[in-house]
Amino acid sequence: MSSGVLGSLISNTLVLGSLYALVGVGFVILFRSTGVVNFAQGALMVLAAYLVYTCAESLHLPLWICFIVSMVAIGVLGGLFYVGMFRRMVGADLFVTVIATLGLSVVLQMVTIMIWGAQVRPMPELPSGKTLFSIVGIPFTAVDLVAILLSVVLIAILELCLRKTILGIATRAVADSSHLAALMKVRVHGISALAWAVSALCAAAAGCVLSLVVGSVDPVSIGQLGLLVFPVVIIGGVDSVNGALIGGILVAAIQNVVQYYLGGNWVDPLAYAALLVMLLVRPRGLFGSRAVARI
Amino acid sequence: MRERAALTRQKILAGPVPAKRLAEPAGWAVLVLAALWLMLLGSVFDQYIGGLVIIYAVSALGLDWIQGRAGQVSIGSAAFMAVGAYVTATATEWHVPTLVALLMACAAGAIVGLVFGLPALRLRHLYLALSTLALQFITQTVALQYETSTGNFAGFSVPEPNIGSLTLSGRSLLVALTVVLVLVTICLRNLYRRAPGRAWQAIRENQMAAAVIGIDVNRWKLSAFATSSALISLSGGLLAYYTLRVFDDTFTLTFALTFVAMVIVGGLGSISGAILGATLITIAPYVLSDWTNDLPSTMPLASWLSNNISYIDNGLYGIILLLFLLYQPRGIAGALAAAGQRIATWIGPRERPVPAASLSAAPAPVHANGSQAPGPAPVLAVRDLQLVYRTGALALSSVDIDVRPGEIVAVLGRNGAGKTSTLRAISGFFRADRVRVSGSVTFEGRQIVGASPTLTSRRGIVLVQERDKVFPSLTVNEHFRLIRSSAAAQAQAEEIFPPLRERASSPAGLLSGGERQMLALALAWTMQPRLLLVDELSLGLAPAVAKRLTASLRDFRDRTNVPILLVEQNVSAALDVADRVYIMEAGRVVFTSDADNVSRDTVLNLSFGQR
Repeated sequence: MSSGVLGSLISNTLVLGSLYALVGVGFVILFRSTGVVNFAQGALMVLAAYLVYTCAESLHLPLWICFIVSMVAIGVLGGLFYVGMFRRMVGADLFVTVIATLGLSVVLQMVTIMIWGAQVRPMPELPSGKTLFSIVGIPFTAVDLVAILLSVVLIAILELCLRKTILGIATRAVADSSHLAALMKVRVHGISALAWAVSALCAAAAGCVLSLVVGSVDPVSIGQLGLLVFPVVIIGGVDSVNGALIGGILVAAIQNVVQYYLGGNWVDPLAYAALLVMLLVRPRGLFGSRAVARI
Repeated sequence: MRERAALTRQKILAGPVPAKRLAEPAGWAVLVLAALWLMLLGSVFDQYIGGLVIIYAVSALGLDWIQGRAGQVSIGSAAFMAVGAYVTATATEWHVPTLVALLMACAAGAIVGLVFGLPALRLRHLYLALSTLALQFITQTVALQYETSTGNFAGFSVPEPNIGSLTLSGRSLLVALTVVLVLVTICLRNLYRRAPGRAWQAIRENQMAAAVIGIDVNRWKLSAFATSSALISLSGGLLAYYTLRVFDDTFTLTFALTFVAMVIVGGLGSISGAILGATLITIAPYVLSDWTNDLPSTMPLASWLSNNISYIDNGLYGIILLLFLLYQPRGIAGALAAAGQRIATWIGPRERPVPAASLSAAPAPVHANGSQAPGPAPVLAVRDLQLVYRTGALALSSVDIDVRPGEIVAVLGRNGAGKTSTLRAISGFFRADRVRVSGSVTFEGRQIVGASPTLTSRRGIVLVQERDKVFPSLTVNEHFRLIRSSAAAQAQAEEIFPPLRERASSPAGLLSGGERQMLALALAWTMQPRLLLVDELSLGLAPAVAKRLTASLRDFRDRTNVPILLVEQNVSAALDVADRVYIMEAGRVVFTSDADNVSRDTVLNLSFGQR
């Protein structure tokens, strides 16, 4: 392996890893506060990427505004999912909500195809697509930098909010026991809707940046990358924000190395094989709390 | 009286039986009629779809087996079908007879099922579902590799099936498939009614309890995995023979999800439900396409519909799935049972599941020394409160309890007497708890029966629960921040319970039982309740700690005059602090008295039957 290849493997791993971590953090926040395992995050990522595409191509808005529009829109959509659907399923079996998010993802995908069609759409060409700078031979483009910075900043803000603000404490309270939280006058439905919105927003941010990294958007491929969130959170621990970070980097590393040596077809099976190994060796993941081992 | 309560419970449990007796035949009648219509009158295309329905139904029955009966979550249907299909395709290359090829498919499915059942011995729920998802991805890639390595880039082609010299196709194939489905159905019905069915049901409902009563959980789980996977693989083999082609593009995650949709839409744990679900999910896209084609082109949405119909068809099962989850979570089988119930009550003898008449005829509770004497109007007045859990168990029947201003009222009784249920019925349930509360609960003049915890807590009712009383991952300080306590209030609480200050920054999950109880009580006071409900204050605590907590409860009342309703098993602790006691047994109040006028022994006799 030449050093150039190694360098781009490392930068790819960092970029994809931080994006996976972002999706993973969204997953963890939703799971911890509402107990819902969201299989629809991939579909939300695709939808977000298409929104950016439309904002940029049809409305000719600057890219950063497109990003904000898309993230906010998907965040609101996530909140609406809770209000319209999952609010009725509070307290239902984990499995029921898993099935519900699977169904939701199918419907979202259908709607996306109906609106934008099945063909591949090119994302706006970036003047800054070239290598911006290299650190010890690892090349970074502007998009790479945006991906890493956006993920790190978003994750840091979320972690800080969860730890320090009353809203964050309330979210963790709902995560521990929604019934007790309701008894203590916490607005459980409001907190849950917020968790849905934040989780959807994380997926949206990752989806937008990912579409720029890939350079195009189609109804399937970004969503498939979204399915890698499960290896990410299982390896990191389903209730740990830090775990999502490490899991994201690890899965991205697996993905890049596998892609280089074996080809893209082997990424999903080997990432999921890693998930299986983790489930058998240490079900709560690297950073998960003991409580989640029994989910 | 206790016998009567038991009888009531039995009647409630027996309630759905006539409905089930009607629902099952109704489901089967629909299926048989549909099959007859298909054989005699259906077009070639209809018959082709009919064959697909049967094959998918076999697979759905396999999924219902592992999920609806044994309670093991799986989204691996497509993977197991792929195993069956590829084994069948490979076997036909060796010119193996059809039946032998299908048996090989079953055997391969059983082996893979056994291997992937092994993680299930350790994993449950989400983790199990994810391990089947891993199976899905691994199988798909292996299938693709198998195709490319054998040079079958467009998949394998499969010859028409035959039995002896008879080649099956068209109508004869449909008949053969019907025979397979009927045989599978008969086998499964017998299996579920006998020991295996009962063992799986026990594991599904409570794995630990099943192990305790001597069921070898691991063995039964593995057997469920192996056998149901064999059935799903059989369906894959049938599909190979039916479509005459095996290609890796067929066995996608989406394909796996359609089977999950089938068993959920049909109703988990029902054979006819799984078949009906498979039918609905399979034919819905075709029906919709037909219907769209027949629309007059002048209709406003017609052209949009016909342009998008293939996308809608692809996502239709997701829409149906969501609609069922939201509006009919028990599926078609559940809907039929409910309809049967309605018909049964309509035409049958008018026997309501809850015989209210017999309950009200029960003797009224004993009132000792005029405790119902007129006093100030009660803050909380519970009248004729009845609570039925979703299992059908009757937890409370016509409970009457009063709490007057500034009063401490204790409810005593043994385990399962309905004490905790009373408190919870007052503080409210979520919709998802699916309990039925009836009667009347008036708090400060307002009716709150059936209100949610959100509402009752806003009205000023604070419940300190027996178990779930603090948030394990929040620190003590964060608890006070959560309820927006003032610093002064927190300081006051810490003065009463010094341990709370010492452990201010440790997570509540690490506190001892006594410290948790202190935290819970301190929080309850700080929330300035208008009525405090406390469940089993002294349970599991050292006597000295329990005494201190009870005393603090009385101090609180003396300080604020807030009425307290507490539930206790510890009779002396309760009599120490309470002004009045109620004794409950089998979901009803059997005795009330002023605490001063009643001795510990009387209470013990009445509530615990001790001599």
